[in-house]
Amino acid sequence: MVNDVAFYLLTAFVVVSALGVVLNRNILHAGLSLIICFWCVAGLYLLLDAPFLAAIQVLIYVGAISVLLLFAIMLTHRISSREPRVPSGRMLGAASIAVAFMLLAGWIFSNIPVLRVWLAQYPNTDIYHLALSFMSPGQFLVPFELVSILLLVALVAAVIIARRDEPLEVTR
Amino acid sequence: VHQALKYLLDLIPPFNNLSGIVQDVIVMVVLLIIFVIFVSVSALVLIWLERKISARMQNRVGPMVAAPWGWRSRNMWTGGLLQTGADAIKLLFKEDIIPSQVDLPVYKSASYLVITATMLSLIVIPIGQDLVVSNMNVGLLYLLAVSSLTVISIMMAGWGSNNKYSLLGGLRSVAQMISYEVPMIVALMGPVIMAGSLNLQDIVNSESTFLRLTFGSHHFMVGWPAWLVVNFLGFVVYLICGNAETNRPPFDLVEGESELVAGFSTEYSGMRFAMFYLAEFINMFIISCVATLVFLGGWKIGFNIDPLLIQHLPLVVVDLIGFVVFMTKAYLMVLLFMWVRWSFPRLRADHLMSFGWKVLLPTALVNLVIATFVTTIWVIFASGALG
Repeated sequence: MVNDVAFYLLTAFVVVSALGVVLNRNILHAGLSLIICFWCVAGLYLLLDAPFLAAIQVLIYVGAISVLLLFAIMLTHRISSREPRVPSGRMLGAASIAVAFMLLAGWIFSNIPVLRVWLAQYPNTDIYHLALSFMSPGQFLVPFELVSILLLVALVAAVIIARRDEPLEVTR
Repeated sequence: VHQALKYLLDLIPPFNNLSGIVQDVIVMVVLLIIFVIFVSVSALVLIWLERKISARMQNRVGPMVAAPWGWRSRNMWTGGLLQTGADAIKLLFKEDIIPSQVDLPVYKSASYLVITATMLSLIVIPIGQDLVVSNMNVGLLYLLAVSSLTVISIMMAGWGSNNKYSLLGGLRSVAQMISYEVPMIVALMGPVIMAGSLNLQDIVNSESTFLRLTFGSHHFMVGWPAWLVVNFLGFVVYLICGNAETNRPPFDLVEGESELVAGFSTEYSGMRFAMFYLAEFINMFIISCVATLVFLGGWKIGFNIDPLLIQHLPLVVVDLIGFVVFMTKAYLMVLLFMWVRWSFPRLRADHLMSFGWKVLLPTALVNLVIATFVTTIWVIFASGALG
């Protein structure tokens, strides 16, 4: 029962703070709500009996990534604005895509019996077996590497977004 | 402790009819209250100690003389006992001044967050065998993770104050804490590899059985002194980094008066300032506790004494002795921190960074190599490959 209460509280915090990240008009406040969101997700991991994952979540996301993010925000020009940061039409599209993705993920996790059978094979997954299945070629090596390619794509995309539109003048 | 409290609760009439969950909640709340009181009182003691020591070292008057009437003389122990109480009362009665242009939610929550983060990291510190609020498997990792919240709260304080000195101080402090976290973690990794665990109790236990020598039928255990010899470089690096992590002198450029007024805490006054002050002292205590646990054998005395004690004395007495030993070691570390604070001049910002990255990190890595080497040899011996 205590776990249920904790779960609903944490989930509420995650949802509210995630909305805060998207809807806040002050980027710094958005960044701070992102930290709350990460922190509560770590709490969810704790409820799932994965303290290692929770500690790593806090160490990397709260301790490293968010701090970097806040640094970057403090170096930008317009931190707070009167208008919403994202135009409402685009926000509607993004929201519908997010909801669709959530439904899809829920459907995958609840409806595919193969996945359930496969998950039942690992009743208590510890970090050793996790690492083993990530690193051995027969199991998850390919998806694992695909994720790193995804990160690379995100990195390149970030560079392209941040680049000026007009080519820089070459000094002669 | 949990079991004992529950047992007590069963004896008291209005509480023994309640269901298990309600009792659990009551026990939790009581534990928390005890915990918070213990922490606050020890922080007060630490502040008193610091002023006392600084007064001894620099011949300051107040903290040496302010005392209840009977003990007014320049008594070495009681002189200055009232100083901290006076400070606390003064801070409590001060007006909570909030400048008009601050970023209010950020400004306010920073002062709450800093003390919360500090309290959170205390719950995994064991003060004896099984005497810990939460015996987490990843205790050390949790500690490092939670301490990163302090970084964020300092950043929030610096930003929220809407003051250029605060912002600069906050950013400087964050840069310093992030870059000193790296050698600190590497320095802690040596003992972790040797113990093969991130659980603080496991680390202490493998320290106490370290270097077991056998002469005929006699077993002789060296315990943590040998452990410290192996990890000595890591110990020194950890102490220096710990000092930098708490932003104490000689690493207090974040509040260098001549450049930054008082850094991120410039705009805070009264109890809000006291939050930062308390957090600094509790953090110093935590760093001392971790140094004691990871490098100095925690509550163990060392050599063959601990198994003898357990054999001949009741468990309660052994726990009490362990607690006294642990506190003695931790307070000796605190004393060392204070000694350093009042002896060294402040570093310059570029020196600070180059010292952290070019000196401390390689030293910590050397310690890591030594620890790995020792562990490998240990494993080879234990498997009997060399006879």
